[in-house]
Amino acid sequence: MNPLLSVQDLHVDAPGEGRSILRGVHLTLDAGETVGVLGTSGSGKTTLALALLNLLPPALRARGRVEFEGHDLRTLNHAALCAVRGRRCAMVFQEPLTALNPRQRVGAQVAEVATAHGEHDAARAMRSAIDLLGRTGLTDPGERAQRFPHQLSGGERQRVLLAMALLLDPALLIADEPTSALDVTVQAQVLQLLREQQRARGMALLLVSHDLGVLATTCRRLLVLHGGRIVEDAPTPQLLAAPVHPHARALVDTVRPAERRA
Amino acid sequence: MAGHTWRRLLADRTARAAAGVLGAAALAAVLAPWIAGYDPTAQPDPVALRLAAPSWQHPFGTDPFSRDVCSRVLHGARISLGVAAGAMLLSVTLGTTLGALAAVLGGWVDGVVSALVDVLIAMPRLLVVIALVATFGALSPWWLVVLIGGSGWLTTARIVRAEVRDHQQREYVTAARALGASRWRIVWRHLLPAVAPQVAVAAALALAAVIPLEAALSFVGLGIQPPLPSWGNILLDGSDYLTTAWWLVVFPMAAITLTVGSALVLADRLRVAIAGEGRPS
Amino acid sequence: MTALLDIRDLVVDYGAGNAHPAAVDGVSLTIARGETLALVGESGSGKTSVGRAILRLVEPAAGTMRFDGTDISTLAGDALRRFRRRAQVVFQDPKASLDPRMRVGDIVREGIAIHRLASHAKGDLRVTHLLEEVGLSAADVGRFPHEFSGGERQRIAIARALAVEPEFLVLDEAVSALDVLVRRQVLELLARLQAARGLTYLFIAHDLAAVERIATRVAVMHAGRIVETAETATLFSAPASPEAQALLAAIPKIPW
Repeated sequence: MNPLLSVQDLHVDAPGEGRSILRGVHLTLDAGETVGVLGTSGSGKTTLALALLNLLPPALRARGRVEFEGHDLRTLNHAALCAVRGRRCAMVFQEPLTALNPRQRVGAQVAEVATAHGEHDAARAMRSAIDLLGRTGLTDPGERAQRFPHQLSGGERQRVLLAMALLLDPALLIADEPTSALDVTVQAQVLQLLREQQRARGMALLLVSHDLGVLATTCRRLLVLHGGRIVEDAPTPQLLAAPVHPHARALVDTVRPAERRA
Repeated sequence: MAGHTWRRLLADRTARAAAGVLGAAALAAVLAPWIAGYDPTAQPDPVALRLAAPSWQHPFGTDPFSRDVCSRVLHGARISLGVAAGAMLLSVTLGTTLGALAAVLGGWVDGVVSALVDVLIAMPRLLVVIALVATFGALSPWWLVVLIGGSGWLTTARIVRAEVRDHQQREYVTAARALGASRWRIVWRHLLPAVAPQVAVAAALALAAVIPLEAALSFVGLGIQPPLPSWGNILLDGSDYLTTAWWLVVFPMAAITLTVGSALVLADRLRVAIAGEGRPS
Repeated sequence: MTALLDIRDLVVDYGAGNAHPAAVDGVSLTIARGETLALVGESGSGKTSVGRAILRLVEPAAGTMRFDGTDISTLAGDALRRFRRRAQVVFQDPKASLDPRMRVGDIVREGIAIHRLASHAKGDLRVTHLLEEVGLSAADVGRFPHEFSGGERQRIAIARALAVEPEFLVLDEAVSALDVLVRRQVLELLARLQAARGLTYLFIAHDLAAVERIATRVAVMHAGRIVETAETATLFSAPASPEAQALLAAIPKIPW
């Protein structure tokens, strides 16, 4: 079976600054698989997440092959790319406040995703939006849908973003540090939600984080990104038990006693 | 102090060109007695040399009294730019001091300064200055500096107050307070360097506003009095001959436009440099 | 062991009036000389306000604060300045807490200059020693904060705090923004400094897992109050309050 996502020799350079951010990344992801990308700041993990969906800022140059469901996303035309983004492959970011339109009610923003991808009945779009907001654990979703982003808590905003991402039932969800801006108890709830949704939908999840605890409790396979390359790629238990690359070992070493399950 | 803003400004070619023009104008003003070919008030031959067109001997031509226009523009720069620079310095110093005091002391000081700014800013500056000059008669250049400078500090004060209040909330100021730094040390070592680029913008804009203001006052006869040349009264002298002797108007006008334009460009490039704060230079 | 810091019924209210709950609503705690008290709570719990009130960066509305026996809640002028030699702070984000327009040497020297702790030449030497003590080099004095990495910047902030030779440091999420590997190095540095200089720490954090290795005791804050204070081992093995239990449960448990 062909993998859902296959990245071959992906390079991203910042020509203006004369440096490379990604230096030949290879990775594959099967349908329904959960993979964590572990990296410290400056490892290139956010660039990788953006490069997968051709969302890099114009100052960056990418080369290599990113194949998703058999299409090379790097060469896909704009219309086809838009159809892939959101519908087949969705993304959530770290800072939910900047990812939402501050002047639009959140319900309308979720419904707009459906409208943009071909749902013509506005009432039906809003109904499915509210329904989904409820399923992401938002209390009183009908009322919350009427609020503006700043009237919600950080955790609620992240649930809204997740609802937008899940609305069209994507085959792959890319989440870049989705919980690092949240309080620890809220982080735990959002991660729980993410795990439930992944399992219920059987979608693939690519979770990008600096936090080994977040990744190890959510993903079955972990990649360690370091200096623009993937230096380790192993099933989670194996990586935790016997990391090979020195950088991976150092990261595993930072796990705190309270994070080790007794 | 070498903040990134200044380094970015130095790297900006347009900014360097504008600063160069202003610098050259200032240099010409300072050196006028040595580089001007003629005494700006001398009338060598009011009959034969009356309204002579530009030539090698008189590159900007001569005026109705046979005076050399080039020498008059150069000496006029001394007065016009001197008054402008003095007024700019006065208004920026006053504005920075009052704005910073209002922000740092708060309370009634802030109330008084803010109220004063709000009231004075509503007054038309040119009319106020004209009214004062009309009441007290023609003024010496020094009084002109005091009058123009003393009425121009409002916007600077407003900007400095807002900027200082913003920076006071930042953590590096809190850290300085935690170290035991006094209010005035924080103002001097942290806040003023932080607002300096904004003050520089205000200074460039003040310069751009003051040069035409002096010219306008002198042009209507209320500013610099003949025979002392200023760009404004050279224009006044030339205004009767606009169709017959263009050089009387074009050269002083070009001097005004070039300096004002450069000051505006410099202010604009400074703003761009400030906006780039935080980005790698 | 005597208490270096003793706080009773501290209230901090940002003037919102009675309609809003106070940011700090009756907090009492003691910190013994040489220990590390961790103050843990979620955002908005009031933990940062407690730290700032102790440093007199915000004015307490009520309560008493004793530092080494003297009341610090009403200090002013020179007495307050002298107290600030003894209690220092390291903030979360050194990008914000270091003046971007100052060179590292001047940043570290500022406290020395304010308190006239050394002549100019001796001050230079002292700055050099401090930079070396936190793992930087003498050559860094002429550089600007933006030329350093996040971890190095936090070392600069630590050197600045140490320059006045304090006894007590408020570490306000001082390692939270750092990368895991860098975080570990800075924590090691803080532990070394504590041992070498006999420092007392108030370690403010939002994440319980972050304090297990370094805290002597942990105080958990919620909605402006301390809901539980316990020895670190006790709190991790048998948390009594629902808030401490929730924080503990929120730590991702890695299946090893």
